[in-house]
Amino acid sequence: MKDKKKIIFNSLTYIFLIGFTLISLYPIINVFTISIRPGDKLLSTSLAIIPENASFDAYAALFSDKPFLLWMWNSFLVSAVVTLTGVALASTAGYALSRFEFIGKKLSMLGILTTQMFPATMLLLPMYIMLIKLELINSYFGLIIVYSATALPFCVWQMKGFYDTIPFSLEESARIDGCNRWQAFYKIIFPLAAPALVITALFSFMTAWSEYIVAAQVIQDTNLYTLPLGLKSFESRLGTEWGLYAAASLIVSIPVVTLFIFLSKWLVSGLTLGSVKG
Amino acid sequence: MAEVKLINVSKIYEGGNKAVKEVNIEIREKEFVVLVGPSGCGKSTTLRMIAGLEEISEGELFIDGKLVNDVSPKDRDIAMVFQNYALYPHMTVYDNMAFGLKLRKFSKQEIKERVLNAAKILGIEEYLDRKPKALSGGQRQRVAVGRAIVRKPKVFLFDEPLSNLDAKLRVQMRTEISRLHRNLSATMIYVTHDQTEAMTMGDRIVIMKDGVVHQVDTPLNLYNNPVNKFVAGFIGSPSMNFVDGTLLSENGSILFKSLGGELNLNLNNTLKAKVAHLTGKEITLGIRPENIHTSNSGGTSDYQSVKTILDVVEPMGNEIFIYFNLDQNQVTARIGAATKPEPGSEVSLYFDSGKLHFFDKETGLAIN
Repeated sequence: MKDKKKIIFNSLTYIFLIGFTLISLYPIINVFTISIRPGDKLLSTSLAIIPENASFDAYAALFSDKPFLLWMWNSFLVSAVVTLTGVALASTAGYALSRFEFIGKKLSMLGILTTQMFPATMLLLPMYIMLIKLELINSYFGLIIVYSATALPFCVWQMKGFYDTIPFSLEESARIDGCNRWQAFYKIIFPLAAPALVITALFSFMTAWSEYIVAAQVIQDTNLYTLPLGLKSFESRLGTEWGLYAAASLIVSIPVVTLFIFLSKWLVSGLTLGSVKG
Repeated sequence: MAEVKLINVSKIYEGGNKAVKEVNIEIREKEFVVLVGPSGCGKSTTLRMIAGLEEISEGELFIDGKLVNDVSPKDRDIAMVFQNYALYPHMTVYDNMAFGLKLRKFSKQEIKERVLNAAKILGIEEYLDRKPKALSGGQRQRVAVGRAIVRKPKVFLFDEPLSNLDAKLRVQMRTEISRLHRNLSATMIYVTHDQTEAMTMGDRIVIMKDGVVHQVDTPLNLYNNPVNKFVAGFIGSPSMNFVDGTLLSENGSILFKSLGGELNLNLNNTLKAKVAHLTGKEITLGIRPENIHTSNSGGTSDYQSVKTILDVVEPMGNEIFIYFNLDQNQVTARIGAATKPEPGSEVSLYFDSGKLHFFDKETGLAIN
């Protein structure tokens, strides 16, 4: 009786999980099908994953007819700088907020948190005006500043939360062993904060890698296009190159998925360690 | 090795809270000094000020004759063992122990020699390649001690290093640290809240309460000649019994009569001389549990009998603790395991009036 109940429970669990897996996978499979479907057809009555006359022409065209590699490089450049900025600033700012008492500490933490409460689109106009005044329109620097400013508040808070779980005595021990404060930070605390740094890096990278709205305002020169802008350029008044669009969408997601898989171990421990004091 | 001198050292936190109040201690070269006291007494803060981890608000601290108030921890030439071990989790045992030496630019050969030597002394040679998480509590504590001794510092500081260990391991590590002190002939300052640790390890003990040093003395002197009621009650387990009463002069002798009248003791000539000037006044009598006996055989004329009803009996194997009430004060006696007292039974107990302590009822100071 007990076994029967367990079998039914397990079966229902599997059906539920498989159902949701299919729901999650369907758009990806659909995009893949479109990318290999001939003639830029978005809609089709066929349910076949591999359509008739399937070809990888769209993938080849991306690299031969379009400056896809340039967009990829541009996106990588912007994302890498945003990631480095995020890690460097969030790791140090989080440390300061976790370890030091200074005037305005509570206020600045509250301020950082408050910025998260405004939707990004609401900040678009003031940011655009600021970038014009700073003459940073149509430059990566402008884009990097906006992306970093968007990613940093969350990263700082989460780094601070992680540092809070590292006992003070480790730094104290290091300082007695012969470190100054900076050495105690980068030789002892920084390596221990790896899980939180991974999340910070990933979050910063993703903020920049797939962002469209800000990029569309800041970048106008096609040579400076990042991937989302490049993808959008497949759309025109007369029609959309759905094959290229789908192929590019899949390629764009590869670096992020790879990063996720590669860093998943750190990611899980980072997410849990930050919340548990131990 | 070096001497450590604290002159009027105070720690005042924001808001004016004075955690350590004008501490004066002179720790001699090669001495093992234990700072002991209840939680919040300021012992750890004092140690952390010596380490340089807390700023000294007032007073002066000298290590090896040099004023070090403003010297950073790394330049004080000290080593510290923390309560939670504070081992670097991302480093192996070897790297943990070598860390301080690498920072001080020792040669690889010298580092290796020192680490292996320390590992041998502490019996952790086989764990050198392991990370701290793969070690037991006792092994971690050994690594923490090893990390301190490889440095050969002027002063060793221990901040309740055995608190996280189980009772058996604590006793074992206690003897190991004492042996280490003997072998290294090092100046060691050790903080604990455990008076047994303090009594067994320290050359001298500093007793603190509420940020104030109450007494600095050898373990035996603290036990036999406490300067006040707090020290008398803190040192010794079970602690000293206290009964309030009055000194009465009767027919040339002096009698201690408890306030409720249940305890009446005639004082011998030595004590009489000490307290004669206090006749008629209320004072506190103190007597240690081992100075209350179940028989007067082998005793002296100082043994004075008191009839009482036993409340609780605690057999410890090698001895028995018996608890009874005198004037509503719970009194403990430590008696031999051969006797078989029954709770609720009436017994005659013999107070050794030659071993009595007297304290001023108001100030708590010992009357000598």
